[in-house]
Amino acid sequence: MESLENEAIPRKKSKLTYSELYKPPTNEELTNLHETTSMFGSNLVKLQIKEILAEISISKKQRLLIDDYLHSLHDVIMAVPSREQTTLNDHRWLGNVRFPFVENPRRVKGNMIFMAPVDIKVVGSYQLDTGLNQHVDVDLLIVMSQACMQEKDIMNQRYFRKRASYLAYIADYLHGNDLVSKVNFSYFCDETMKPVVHVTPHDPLKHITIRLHARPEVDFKLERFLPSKNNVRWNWFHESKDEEPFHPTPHYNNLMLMDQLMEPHLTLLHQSSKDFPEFKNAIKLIKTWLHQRELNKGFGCFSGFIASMLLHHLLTINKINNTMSSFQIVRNFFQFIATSDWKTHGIGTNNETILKEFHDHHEVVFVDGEGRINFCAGMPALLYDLVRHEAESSLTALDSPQGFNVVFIVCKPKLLKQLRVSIDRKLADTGGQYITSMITSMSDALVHGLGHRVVLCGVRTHSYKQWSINENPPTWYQVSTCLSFGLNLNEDFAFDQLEKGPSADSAEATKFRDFWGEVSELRRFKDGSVCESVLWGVGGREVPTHVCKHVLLRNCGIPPSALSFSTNQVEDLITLPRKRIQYGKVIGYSGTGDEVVTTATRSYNELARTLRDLKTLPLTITHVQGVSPVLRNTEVYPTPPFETIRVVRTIEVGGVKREIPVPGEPCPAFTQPIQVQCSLEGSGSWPQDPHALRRLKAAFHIAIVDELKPLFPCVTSQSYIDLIKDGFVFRISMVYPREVVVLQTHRTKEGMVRVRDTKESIELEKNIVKLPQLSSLLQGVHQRFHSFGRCCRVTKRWINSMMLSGHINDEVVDLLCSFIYLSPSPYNTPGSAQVGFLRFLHFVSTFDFNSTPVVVDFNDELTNEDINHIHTHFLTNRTSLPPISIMNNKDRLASPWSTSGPSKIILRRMKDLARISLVKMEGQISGADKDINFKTILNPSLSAYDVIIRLKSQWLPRRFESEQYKPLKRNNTDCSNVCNDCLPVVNFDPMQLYIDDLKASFSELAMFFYDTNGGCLVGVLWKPTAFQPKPFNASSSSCILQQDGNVVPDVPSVIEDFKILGDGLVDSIDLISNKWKI
Amino acid sequence: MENQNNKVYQLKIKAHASCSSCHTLFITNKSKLNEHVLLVSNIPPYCNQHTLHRLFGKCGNLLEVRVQKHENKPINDDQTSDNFPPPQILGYKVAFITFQSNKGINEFIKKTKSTDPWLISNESTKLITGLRRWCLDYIHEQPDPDKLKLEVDEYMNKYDAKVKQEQEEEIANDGIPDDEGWVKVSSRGRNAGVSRTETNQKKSKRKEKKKRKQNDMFSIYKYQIRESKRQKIAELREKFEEDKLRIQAMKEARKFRPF
Repeated sequence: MESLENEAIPRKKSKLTYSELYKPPTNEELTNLHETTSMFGSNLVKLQIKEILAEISISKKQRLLIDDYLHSLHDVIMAVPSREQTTLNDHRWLGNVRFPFVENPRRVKGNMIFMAPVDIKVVGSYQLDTGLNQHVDVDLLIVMSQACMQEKDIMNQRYFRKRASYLAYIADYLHGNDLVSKVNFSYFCDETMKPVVHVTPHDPLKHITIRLHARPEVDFKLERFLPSKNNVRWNWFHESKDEEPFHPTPHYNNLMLMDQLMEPHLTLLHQSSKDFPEFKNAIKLIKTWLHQRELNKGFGCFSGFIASMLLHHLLTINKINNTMSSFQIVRNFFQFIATSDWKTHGIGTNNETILKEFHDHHEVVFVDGEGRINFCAGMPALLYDLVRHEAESSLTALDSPQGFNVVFIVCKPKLLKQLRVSIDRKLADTGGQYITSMITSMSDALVHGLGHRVVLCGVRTHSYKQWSINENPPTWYQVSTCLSFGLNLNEDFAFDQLEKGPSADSAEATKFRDFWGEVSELRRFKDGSVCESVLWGVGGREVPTHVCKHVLLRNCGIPPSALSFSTNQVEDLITLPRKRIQYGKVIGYSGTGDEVVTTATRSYNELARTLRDLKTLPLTITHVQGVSPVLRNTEVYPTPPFETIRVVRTIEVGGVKREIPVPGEPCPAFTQPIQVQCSLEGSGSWPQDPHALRRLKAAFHIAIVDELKPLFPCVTSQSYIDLIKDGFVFRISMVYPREVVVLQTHRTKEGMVRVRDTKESIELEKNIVKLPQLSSLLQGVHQRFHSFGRCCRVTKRWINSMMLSGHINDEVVDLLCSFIYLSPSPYNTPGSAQVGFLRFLHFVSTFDFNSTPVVVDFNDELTNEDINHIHTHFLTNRTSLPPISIMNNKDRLASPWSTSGPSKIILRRMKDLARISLVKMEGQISGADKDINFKTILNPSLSAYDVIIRLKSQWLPRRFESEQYKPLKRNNTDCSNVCNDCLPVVNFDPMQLYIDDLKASFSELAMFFYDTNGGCLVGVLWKPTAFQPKPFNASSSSCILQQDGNVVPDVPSVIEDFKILGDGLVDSIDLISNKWKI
Repeated sequence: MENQNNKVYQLKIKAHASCSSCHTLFITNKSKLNEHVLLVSNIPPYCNQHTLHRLFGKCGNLLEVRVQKHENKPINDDQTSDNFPPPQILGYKVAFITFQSNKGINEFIKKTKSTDPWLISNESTKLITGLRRWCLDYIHEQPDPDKLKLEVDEYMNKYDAKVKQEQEEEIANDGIPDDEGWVKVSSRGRNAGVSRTETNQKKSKRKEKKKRKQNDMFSIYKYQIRESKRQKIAELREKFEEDKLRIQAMKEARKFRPF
């Protein structure tokens, strides 16, 4: 933690000398300067691309090493001895190596003979120099000797099995070789019929993988692999003896072609990229982009190869040319995908008949120039939609100032989608390529079933792990990642209870009934129509989950037990079950508390109207603004309206009974007042003196109370009015906006009036000018996104439970959450609190607060220039701005809300905690656990603290909010004072008062950590600098004087003071560390 | 006796008889010719004016006990009253204790010789801290509305009268030269002066600058055009250099690690 104290970026001034700045430009320099703006958008992008390319490209030095290695490997493989003939079913000759092919059915005709390869060629991205440095995959294509082949090898998986056993034999041979450290198998592109060998070399190259593919020496005839042809016989596969139906086998055919077309495609790409280095760079950038979005993972993914072929296609249709920069190529690439539709209008060739034939058999069509093979054969339509959507959002992001980072740097893991449904491995065993063949029907069912409830439905296909050569290959139910669907809900319709279908007598009605099954029923609607419809009898937010379960069970036969959902489990954290505590008081609410907020808002609006209509005031109230988080639904646990209360002791003030807290009696329940600020119409007769202003405001409060007394119980104090309406306590205060100026103004000696900020004026401005502004802006966000409030509440609950209460104020959290909702790129706006919270954790743990400000753009008002201006101002004034700097429309240059915290140390701790919590939550979500219980993330670790102060829970009125709280069973001794119109104890939280006292006395010595939501511990952490001896002066406090005239903290008496200050509240004090012993 | 004023006396105090550790008060003699003042620092948060009065009253008659947060920051409390109290002094504080005569100070110095800690609470005067204090504070926060109203009215009447009097004086003195013959310019009358504020001063300066700028002419001579072109290139270069620095900073922050 110490190291953070003096961490600041050293900003060097970029100053060129006069002669450097004004020397005559060379031609080259001129073109360079102009080119940057025309080809890259800006200098910055050009330089950034240069940097990122240097980071992701494979260096020349490394290529030399790899090339050397490949030569020696080539010699080894060429020298593999031949083997005599066996049958294809006999795997004994493979020795310890398990046959890397799931044989289903087991029996197949044909013989296998191994002859040394004819040739070995380097193919793929390594050869083209478009590979990425991070995981170097070198593809070697082994040309199998024609002697191994037989007639009819293309039939019934014979070629694939032959290929697998050929590669397995090579793997066995390589296994013992000195050149090789590890040999594994994996499925190429997660196709279970195409195992490849992974060879890992020894040390200097151990991060690279060499993949061995195989192909026949003589090409098969192309006509046999048209999508409509049959190459796997029904009777063989089902081991039946019926009449052969000759079903087309498009997928199988495509796979057969892949091996033999590898080389021709490589040649094409090679020609395109020759003398066109920007082409290669563009491929690298796009690959990075795909990787960040995990679009290149799983079965039928959008691989880097597809991207390269697409660029080649763009080159042939003149969408790009070789004068373009990589930035422009990438832009055009996004543009092309975003506007394309390969589901109906495939691309790649001009031959309409060929395209049509492919469309008949594949969902997504992108064929090669001669119409031989479909690159997107396995791609589910949903995945293509996802790619298109990502391209579209990246295209818009590229034009924004922070776009580069969003598109290429920021990692966008799959989990941060809106709603996830995973299908796990407990499915009924039906054999074969079950998952692959089900994807289409499942996604159709989901898309149809959810209809307008979703905006976008994405799919993340399953994938398999590598396996060792001594293990059996994984079958379809041993996937490493489950098939998962991500749903981007449409907030307007997603939670509708009713699914209205076609009218009963129409032709579609039968279809509708078929699809929905028994849950479909006839209903009469208000307009008199009688329609088929489905009514979901569950709570609004559960509807999408229920739809998914029902639809998948009915149309695909997948039982709900095989599904796992990640939806709203995180909202459990902000529910507070309604219960009655001692003396009949009620805490908590049913549901998530949204209802409390709705009623509170309604009361507030009525109150505001009453205030505006007040008659007896000399000036009318023009503006009423509620500033409490409750009104924007961002208070963790809003105080519910109270009912009859039985009070312990009351006093009477100005005719109103007030409950008071009395030591020795039970603690009154916690009531958080709703803060309301009123301002009056303008007038010239306000005094210009702070003391007089204070009294005049009090006079207004008295006048308001006098008029409102008959309507509501209310009392006034010097600076506010407490008022009860509908069971809510409102704290109303009068505001005079010019008071800020009054505080700022002072006269210099020369008699000049100067306006300068003072500590008090800044504080006041924040409270009476900026807070109302911010409240209304945040209220706007709350109304735009209905999950925003819940997201803020969950986030605050998390921060509090990490014992960081008081270090980060409510407004900062609200602003950070609104940033996540307002600038979601590269994602979409979160649709549920869970997604919002996950994004928050991800954002906090990864965002570089040190060198970037958080710019919250309410109402989309800021232009690119504005944002650039904010960034430059931020960078030049970094040292004077707080660790988390949040600018918004109203505060473009300063960050008033985060000045009081978090400090650098706290920010660092928050980042660490966020990372840990995120890992825990993702583990729960992807672990496909049935019972996701996020409450476990709320357990704070106490190991970091030096002293732990334990408090007596009887006097903690908020103890009920804690997870750990267990109510004691005891008889509610009836208290005789029942009081209906009595003002409850407002805003009285001994824990908070104790912390305030501690901070006032010991803030130089220690930091205090606590949880306002019912925690009963205070963690104390000594500041690292606290124990250095300091010279004595009159303001030295809580210390003892040493012989040498320096002072050091007097820890025993400080600990004693902890006890004395918290007399009656402190239970015990544990000293954990003895860091203070000097 | 020269350095008597710089000597730091230490006084041990205890909150209760049962407390195991003591607090140390640091006391310096700040006496001037006719003032017999001790500056007490490191006073714990629960020690208030009354406690100090009781403790130091043992040494002699006290004239004043003034409690402050810091040594040199006197609080301006002439505008406060029971209903509008000054902000509470929280945490550790210092106090100036004025004795009637030098006797008290000598008595005090004598007493510091013994090492026995002084008790700041006993059976009759208990410390009010923690829960008891918070509850009391909560009750005190609520003033009596009638008294509050009375005080506010009284104060505002006085204030209004004061303002009125000032105004009348100003009007009465308008245009009348003072002893040295200067006339004060006021905001009233036909020749009202501009009020002397910083904003006004800045405004007039800005106006002047604008005027001067309007008189300049550009793009007339060849050299001016050439100059502006040169300027443009220089700007581009400067921007380029700045961007390079930014990239450097990003590189240091390891921003170019996409994986």
